[in-house]
Amino acid sequence: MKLSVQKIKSVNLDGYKMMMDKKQAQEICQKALSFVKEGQAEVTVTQTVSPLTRIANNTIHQNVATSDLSISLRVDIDGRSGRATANQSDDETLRNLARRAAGAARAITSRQELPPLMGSQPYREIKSYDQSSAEMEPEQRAEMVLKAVKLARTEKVELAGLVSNLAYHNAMANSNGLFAYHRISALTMEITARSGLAAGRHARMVRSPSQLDPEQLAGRAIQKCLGGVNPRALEPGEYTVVLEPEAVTTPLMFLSWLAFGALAVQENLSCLSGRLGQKLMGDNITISDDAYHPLAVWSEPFDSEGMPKKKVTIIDQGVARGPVYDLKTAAKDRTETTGHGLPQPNTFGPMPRNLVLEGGSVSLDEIIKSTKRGVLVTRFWYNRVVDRKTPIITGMTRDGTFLIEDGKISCGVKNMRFNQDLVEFFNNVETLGVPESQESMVVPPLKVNNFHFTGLTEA
Amino acid sequence: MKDLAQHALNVAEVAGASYADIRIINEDSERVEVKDGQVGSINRGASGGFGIRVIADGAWGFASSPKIDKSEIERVARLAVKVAKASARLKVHDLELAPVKKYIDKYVTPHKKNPLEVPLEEKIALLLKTDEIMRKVKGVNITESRIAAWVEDQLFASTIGSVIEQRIVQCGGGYAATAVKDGDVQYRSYPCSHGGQWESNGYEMIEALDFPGHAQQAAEEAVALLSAEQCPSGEKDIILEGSQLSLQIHESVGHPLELDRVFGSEANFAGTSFATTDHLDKLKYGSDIVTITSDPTCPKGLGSFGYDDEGVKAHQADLIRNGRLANYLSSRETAQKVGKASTGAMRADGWGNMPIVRMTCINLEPGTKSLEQIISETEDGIYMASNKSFSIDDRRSNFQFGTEIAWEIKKGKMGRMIKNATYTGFTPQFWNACDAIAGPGDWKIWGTANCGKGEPQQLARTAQGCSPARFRKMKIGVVPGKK
Repeated sequence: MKLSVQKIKSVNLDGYKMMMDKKQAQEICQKALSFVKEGQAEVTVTQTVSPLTRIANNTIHQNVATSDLSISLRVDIDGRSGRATANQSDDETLRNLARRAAGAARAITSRQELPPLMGSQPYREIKSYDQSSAEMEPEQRAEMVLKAVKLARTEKVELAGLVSNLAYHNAMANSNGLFAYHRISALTMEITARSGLAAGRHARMVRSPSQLDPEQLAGRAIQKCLGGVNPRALEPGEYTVVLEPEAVTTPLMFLSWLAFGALAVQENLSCLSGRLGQKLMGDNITISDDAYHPLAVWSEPFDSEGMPKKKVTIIDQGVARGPVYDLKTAAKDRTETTGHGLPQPNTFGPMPRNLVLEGGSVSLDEIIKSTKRGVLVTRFWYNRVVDRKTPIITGMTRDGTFLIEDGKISCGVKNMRFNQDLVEFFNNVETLGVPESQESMVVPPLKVNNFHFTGLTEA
Repeated sequence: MKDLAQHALNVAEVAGASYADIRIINEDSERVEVKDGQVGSINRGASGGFGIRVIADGAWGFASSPKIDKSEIERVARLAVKVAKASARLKVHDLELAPVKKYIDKYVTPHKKNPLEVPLEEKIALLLKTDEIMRKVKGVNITESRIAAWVEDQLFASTIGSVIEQRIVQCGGGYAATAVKDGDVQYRSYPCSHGGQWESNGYEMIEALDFPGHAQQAAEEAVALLSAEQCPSGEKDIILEGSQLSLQIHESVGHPLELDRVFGSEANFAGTSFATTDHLDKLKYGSDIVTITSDPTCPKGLGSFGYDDEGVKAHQADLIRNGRLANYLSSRETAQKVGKASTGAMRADGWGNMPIVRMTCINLEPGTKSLEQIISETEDGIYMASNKSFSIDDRRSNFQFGTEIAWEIKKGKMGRMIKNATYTGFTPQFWNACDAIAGPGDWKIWGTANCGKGEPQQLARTAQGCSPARFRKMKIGVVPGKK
């Protein structure tokens, strides 16, 4: 039966107005914990509203407005732990949640090595919420796309990409009195400009729409695309590369999960294993994990155990100082957690989330000018681990790869495959530029010598 | 629920939708991990919600919510239309969809034992027993194993009049032993890597895998790899074991033949495809013996279902027939652009995501010879098994794969063990170099539990069926390693 217009209630379409605030989050946490009748418990309540407007062929081809709630409950009974998740907060669901988590714990017959549930903690404030990005409307995102596409049509290129805003609220509490709450909002715009087989990309994640100029962003992508038409093929071999910050996030991301967590070090799987205190990388390399860095757009002041995040210097002027810890790995090494735990218990160990590579004072353009011959890389793609311990990764260049000759970009080049030892990489960094924000990381552009390109592709 | 679904469609139409569909889903899941003699973690998940997809003013809109009640249904239906109208500001022309029949139907994955009803104690005991066998092997440092299961109940309804209920039952698992010595790390998995084997099936599939029966061999091979020869560099004939070949199919056939990708939908993220539509019916994608189909009716296939997420009934479709590009994985929208019917490949990751073109079960038809025969007829080659690394360019052409283990083949016989085996190539040249495919006796459907695509990113469970096959003169040993 069809309804007439008059019979449909006028409803508030905005999902954002239904987002929980700190008080409501705490109430849900307390209610969830109240249904746990045995042992200790910890609950995490996360709500996200994440609309995304997607672009292909200069049109909006997919446009979604999604929201979700996640309630994850851990119950520890006599040294055994079970976890259950749900996405509803009514009493019946929370009661079932407690029953399922406790049932999982009781199914385990022997004790596990479980980290404790800690009590109340002090947290540093991180200002990471802006209402203007949290509550963007579909029309506002479409307007940003329109501006970018207008420019593309003038330049006769096609755009793909996205505009997405995100509101994220995260609360956790446990039966020992811990309560933590944080919220983040962000706006992301990514543009890939295409002309035939040539492509160019630029992307930004910012706190508020006022920090993002769609035309400027699209303009950079378009300029790269047009500069890459009729690319040359380079022979595989060792090259000096100039990496834009987005490309620099790739080696750092792999080090973050392969090498910089304490469990990998303890299991002798990390390139840091047995090398703490030793010179591992170049003198000019200092890598830390710092959730409080002012340029980090995505960061939280506590980890998934509710422990406050600490700044950790992992590599200090090339010397391996130490990994990040969670409660369990810290106890094994008789040290303190650094606040980098994932939801417990887990088999993965702690992981850095906000890597910062200290940079210098030169711009990307100045680095290019200082390069006699090299390859400028926008980003790396489909990167995978080839050798876990060394570590060696492989991947491709993509969306804007250029030859630099005598300090100038001379032409586009066909995308190339690399296989690269990451420790060797960080021993071959010649120049570090001015750092900039890359979502959760802060990284500079780099000039790196002896980078291994092992193959190339047709475009 | 059906009343709510119908109400959603009505509200969407009154708000201005010319087409609407809704999926109301509840998914229960469970994952058990064991590591180094202890239960590592147990997670029991439940997620419910609905997603409404509409066409309004000639463009798509989508909205979703975890809250399933009348007022929320109305809000989200109207929001989907609002989103569509915003999209329409940039449309070049109105959307057109290939036709689909109306279906009133139910489908349940064939299975005997619901994996979520098998007691946790039984799963834990199985994994701990397997773990213990691996840890007894000297030289093994780390042991990991897991079992996971998902049961999804979906109600689909559309303004075409379809009402389809499906229950998809999936599970699987696997394990790995890792050995570390002198700066070298090697591991061996069973039944395959990246977490294990996954099927649309009941718990009986885990029982059939006989975890404990293969644990010692996996552990011994991990240790043996430490002292195995490094993969040589050069050009060799390679024979790919089934699970490795299944990932090759996934990366170099399944993905490039997703028609939305061919049309540029993924250009910002997953990439495009070299197999553009001007190649349809023309491109010699592989040798004459290569025939690959999409078949979501395939028994046990992790990519199998009754109907796709826009109500197209599951059916088999040629993708490559006797080496020639014959069709694509498609949706109603993309199929219409090439003048064909949808191959029924629209799938969404849960209720909260919009369906996009995905792999189903992508199957390489078997050959005639046995694997033993193919090996015996190989003069100088390498047999590579169990994927370790995989990388391919954004047009799905240049690839590089690595495997956990390999063996030299000399004069038709398997010889010394090789570690860190890698090979590289270009997709059409690779498939045209296929000169032998093992027969039905060696054919198996392999599951890929976490295929990523889309923005926001979605994970899909897909499958690829194949027998081992030989490829002539491939470039191997592309990454120099330690001795």
